Amino acid sequence: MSTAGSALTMERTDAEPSLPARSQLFAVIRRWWLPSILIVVLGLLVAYPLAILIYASFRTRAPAPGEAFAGEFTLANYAAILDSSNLIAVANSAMVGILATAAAAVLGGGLAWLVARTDVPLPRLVAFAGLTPLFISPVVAAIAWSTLASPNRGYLNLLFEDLGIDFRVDVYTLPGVILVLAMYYAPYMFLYTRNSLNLMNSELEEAALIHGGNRWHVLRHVTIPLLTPTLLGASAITLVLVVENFPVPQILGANGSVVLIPSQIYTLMQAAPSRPTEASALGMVLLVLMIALVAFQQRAMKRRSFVTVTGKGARASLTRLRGWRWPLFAVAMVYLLLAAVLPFFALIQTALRRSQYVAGIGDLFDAGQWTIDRFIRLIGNSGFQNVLINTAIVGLASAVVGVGLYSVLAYVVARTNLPSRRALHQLAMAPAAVPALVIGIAFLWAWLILPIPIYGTLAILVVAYVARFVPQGFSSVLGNLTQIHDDMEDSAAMAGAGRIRSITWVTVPLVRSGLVSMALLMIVLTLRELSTSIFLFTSRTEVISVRLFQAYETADMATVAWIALILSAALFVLAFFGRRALLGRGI
Amino acid sequence: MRPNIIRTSLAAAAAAVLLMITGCGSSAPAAGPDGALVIDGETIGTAELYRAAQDEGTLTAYLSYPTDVSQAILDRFSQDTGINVELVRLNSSGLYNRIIAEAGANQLPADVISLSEAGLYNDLRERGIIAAHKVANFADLPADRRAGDGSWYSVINLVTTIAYNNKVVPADQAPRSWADLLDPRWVGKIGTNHIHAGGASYTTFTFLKDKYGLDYWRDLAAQKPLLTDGVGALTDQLSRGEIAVSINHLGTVKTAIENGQPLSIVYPSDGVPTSQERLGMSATAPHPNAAKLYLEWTQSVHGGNVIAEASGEYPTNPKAAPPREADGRPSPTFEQLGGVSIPTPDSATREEQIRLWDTTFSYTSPAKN
Repeated sequence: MSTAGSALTMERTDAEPSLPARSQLFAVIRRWWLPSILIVVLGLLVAYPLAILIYASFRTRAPAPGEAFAGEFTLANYAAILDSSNLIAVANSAMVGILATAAAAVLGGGLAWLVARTDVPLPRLVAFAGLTPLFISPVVAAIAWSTLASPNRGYLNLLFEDLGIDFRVDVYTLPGVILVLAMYYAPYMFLYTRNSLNLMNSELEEAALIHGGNRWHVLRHVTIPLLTPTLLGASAITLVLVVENFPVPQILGANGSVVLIPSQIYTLMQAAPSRPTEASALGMVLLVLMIALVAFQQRAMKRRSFVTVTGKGARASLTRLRGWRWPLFAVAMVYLLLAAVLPFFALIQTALRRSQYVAGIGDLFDAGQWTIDRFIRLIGNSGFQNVLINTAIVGLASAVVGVGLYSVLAYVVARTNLPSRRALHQLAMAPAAVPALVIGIAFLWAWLILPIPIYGTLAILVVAYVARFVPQGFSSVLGNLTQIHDDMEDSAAMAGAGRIRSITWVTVPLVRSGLVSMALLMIVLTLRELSTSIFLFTSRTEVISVRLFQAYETADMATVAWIALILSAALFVLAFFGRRALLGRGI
Repeated sequence: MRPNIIRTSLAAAAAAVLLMITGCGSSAPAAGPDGALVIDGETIGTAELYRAAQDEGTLTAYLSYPTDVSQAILDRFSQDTGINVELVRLNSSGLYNRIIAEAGANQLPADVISLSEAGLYNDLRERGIIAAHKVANFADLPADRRAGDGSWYSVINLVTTIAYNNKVVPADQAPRSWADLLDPRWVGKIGTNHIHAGGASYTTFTFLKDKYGLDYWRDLAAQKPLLTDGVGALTDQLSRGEIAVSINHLGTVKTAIENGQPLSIVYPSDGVPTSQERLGMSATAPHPNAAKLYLEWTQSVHGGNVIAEASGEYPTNPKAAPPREADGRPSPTFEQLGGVSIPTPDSATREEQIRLWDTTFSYTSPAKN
């Protein structure tokens, strides 16, 4: 192989020829400077709070500022995992997690395939259906579904009653929670899968068709196997997000029918006094699970080459659905109805109604009961105006810092053979396994005792968010990079461009839509994030998710609904302006 | 690009933000002829204290009482004194955890602290986070509404009553007492916080067991009540009619009625459980004089009137006016309620009771074994 470009050579060869000592030192620095910086950054963001967590799980008392080594060593927290209530929580979480993720994968992946690979009618609308629930916070969704499907006076049940149908739904059950989680995490699967499909070369699929396969055959034996790394990675991330979600089981399962690990952890944290050591131990259970998932994912990807973007000119051809066109379109529309239209209808009702009591379905359309008083009170409140400004600042800062960090991380892990890549990968994925609630407390302790004065400012929220979403951002860019063969970048380098220039002019344009959609996703996630910020905010640094939560505790459902609507509106505006990046080319 | 327009609008926005943040503490504060804080003829703060507090200029309050009412009370204090107020509100356990963490790092900016869970408050006291201060009218306050050394003062007599949705339940069929709740027609129609939801729910369940024995818990569990983890969710379910009747916190229900919900309050004929919302001054208060002034203000008759009006609940100062119903009718006086104060349990008793409750109500929770 020709040695064009010294940078290329230095990074490619492992065996160092015998060189003078100074050159050897430079060689070491050149190999290690970037990984070292990344390790320090990830260490502060991820390893240090995690270390506090692991340490706390073996202590009788949690380390607190001023008493870092309080209490004694104990295994009692882990023994407590065998208590019946914890075992029930673990078993329920496993079942709910797997079922909800499977449903989300089928739904999201299926919609992505419909949009990117078939001639389904109105693909933009189908993509809209696949994406929209992403912009609905799970807290908001849980509240809305509680209104829609509570066993006695849920709007759906009122409708059935008025129509004389003897069928009732009850969302305060395990199946109810599974369905709600599946509906609102499907968009993650949709996004990851759709990006992959767009980058995928259809030559292999066409070859299979030419050789006599029908479209389902192609789907099963060509498309899905090629999508496997993305599907696995996205499923793993989704599974952890589903299992660690606490607003949905908390709101829908408060009557004790649905006990999952996060509500269990939340209960332990909210206990008076708080029991964070037991919560940490329970959190470790999820951590172990995630490590297993990541190890599994890495091994699965090692075996084969999934490169399908080869710079040879790709044009995706569409599968003809024939008789299935409109039925599948209808499925997508039913999903849109259930996941977005009905919940927003419920929210608007809750916001507008003076009295929350609904006598019958006709009552919902009685304009005489509507008022916008609470909305006017809300936006005129200077505290709430502050909240909006804080939210904007934190969202933007997190996205910008996040994109930078995650891209560099992903590039180093995927494209170089710099040392400690595997460690960086594990470290980057680790926060996904730790429930956000517990991360929140760890961050509180971690940053309180460091001499850097960012506690009580917006900066600590930004740091917490960037750390919290390392797994999502990192694996998103990683997934995109993995599908792009080294050849193209290397060709540029061989033609004389330096490494940085090759990246800028070749790789970045190819992943650009992925980067932008990831940045938008970051803003969306930070807007919705509650568990991390609930322990880090002060009265001056409240963001909208915290304000929503505070309002929920006051029984002023109309104001809760208005805040929820404002939050959702902000997210929809983001989606609209980012639609090209999110929806991609070719649609 | 047109940088001038962008810069100008950013500056304007920043100015607007600054104005909003710094707030409007420009109302005229009350002052007596010699500079003391006198309102309605009552001296609330000496001239020296008042001046010192005004020089400090800000009060930071860490409160667990619901935000809207807390903010309303603080805003009245601000109007009366010209001191800016900042509120940090979390529920009792969240606030307790926050205070411990911040105090340990010497970063606790609170001037005054209020929790509705006596056990947690006592723990803060033991850690030296609370300072003692005897207010001017200390001798006038009932002995059970304040600590002997002034390390806590009650602000509100929290009361639990029965509330029902008057669109679902006609007034003549409403329950009149706790015993009425066991009537079979309420099966599946009652709602209550579970015992883990906070201090008031513990107090209420203890009251019921003390009064009617463990059988009451068993019979109530047999009614298949809807269990919630906060008064917000509970009152929302009641407002929607998802449940017909609830065991509820008085202040929250009154606020809901004022917001237009079709609820009615029943003061049970067999007595009500009460507990105290405890308030104290932080030992590391950055504005100690403002903190002291706030304590004096809440314990005054005027302060009691403000609190009763803002919260609809019973103030602790016996000379303050009792609250009113949402429609303006006077509420029963505290004596007429038959309030029963439940003493603070030690943690062993408390845990044992919680375990017993979990078993009786078949509730899955991580109660300690």
